[in-house]
Amino acid sequence: MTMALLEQEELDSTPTAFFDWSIYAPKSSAQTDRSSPMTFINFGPQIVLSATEIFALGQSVTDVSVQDRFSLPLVGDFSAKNLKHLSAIAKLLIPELREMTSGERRNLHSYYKKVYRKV
Amino acid sequence: MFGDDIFPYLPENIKPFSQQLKQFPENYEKWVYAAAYRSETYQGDVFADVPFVFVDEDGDPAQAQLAGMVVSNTCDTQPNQGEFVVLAPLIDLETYRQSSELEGEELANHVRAVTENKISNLMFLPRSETTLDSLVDFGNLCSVSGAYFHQKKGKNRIVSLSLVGHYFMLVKLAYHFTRPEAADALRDSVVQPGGD
Repeated sequence: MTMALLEQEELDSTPTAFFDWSIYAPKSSAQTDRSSPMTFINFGPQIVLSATEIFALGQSVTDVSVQDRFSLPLVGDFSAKNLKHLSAIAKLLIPELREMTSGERRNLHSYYKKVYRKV
Repeated sequence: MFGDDIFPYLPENIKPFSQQLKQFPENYEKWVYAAAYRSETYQGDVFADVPFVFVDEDGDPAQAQLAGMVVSNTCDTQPNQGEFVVLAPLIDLETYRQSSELEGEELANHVRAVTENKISNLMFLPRSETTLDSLVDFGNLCSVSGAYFHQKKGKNRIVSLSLVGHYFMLVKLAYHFTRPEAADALRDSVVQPGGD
């Protein structure tokens, strides 16, 4: 049976759909008949697929090779081309990615005031 | 979060560049730009001398002539395709720094955040053969008539993104527009009844 660790980040809301949880299947170092624990990380709103749709992809969470087969349809091109997934990749590449502070926003506004002219 | 392995999460055409992406922001300047331009306009291309307009706090149009990055999808930037081409203004970093109202450590921290691409609406573009250190603001987009754009663009293209540079742009653009709303954004969950 697959052990799954649910790890929620950005605790603004509790995911309500299965696919609210992105799947992180770490590399397995053990050669056993049990699959490694998977970590489900919530990136916030994601594509919402029903459980039926997920399982229609041929997945079974009791399958020992689940992490390998999960990785194909869920994190391949299908997901990577999705805006939400791109957004998640952004946080992987730039963990400190953030919005402007109010001071930075005022600073940029001030710059535009100097550069733009009323028509 | 995902450790050092983003490889499985990249589209197939970007996987060969996973090492470069993992090292980000190191060597960013070595892979963000394309070595050569193609004749077509591509999303992420930067053009000089683009007229930008926004509506200011008085409701008046304000205009500036700036370099701009094409944000429209590549398909929509081809002649006779999209009615408009959407662009984001390019800001010269040194000019921005010199005119900044931030000072001292606050300014240094801000510039560092910009150059490390840590601010969601700003994409830092490092110095190239044709551009100085610059930032692109995805928070101030402007649409320009496609007919005007194609008539004027001529030899105004000053830089084009590489395959992986374009992917990086998409990643930042997607994050800026699809990041989770603030916790205090109370959107009604009850949908309006449909029409006939």
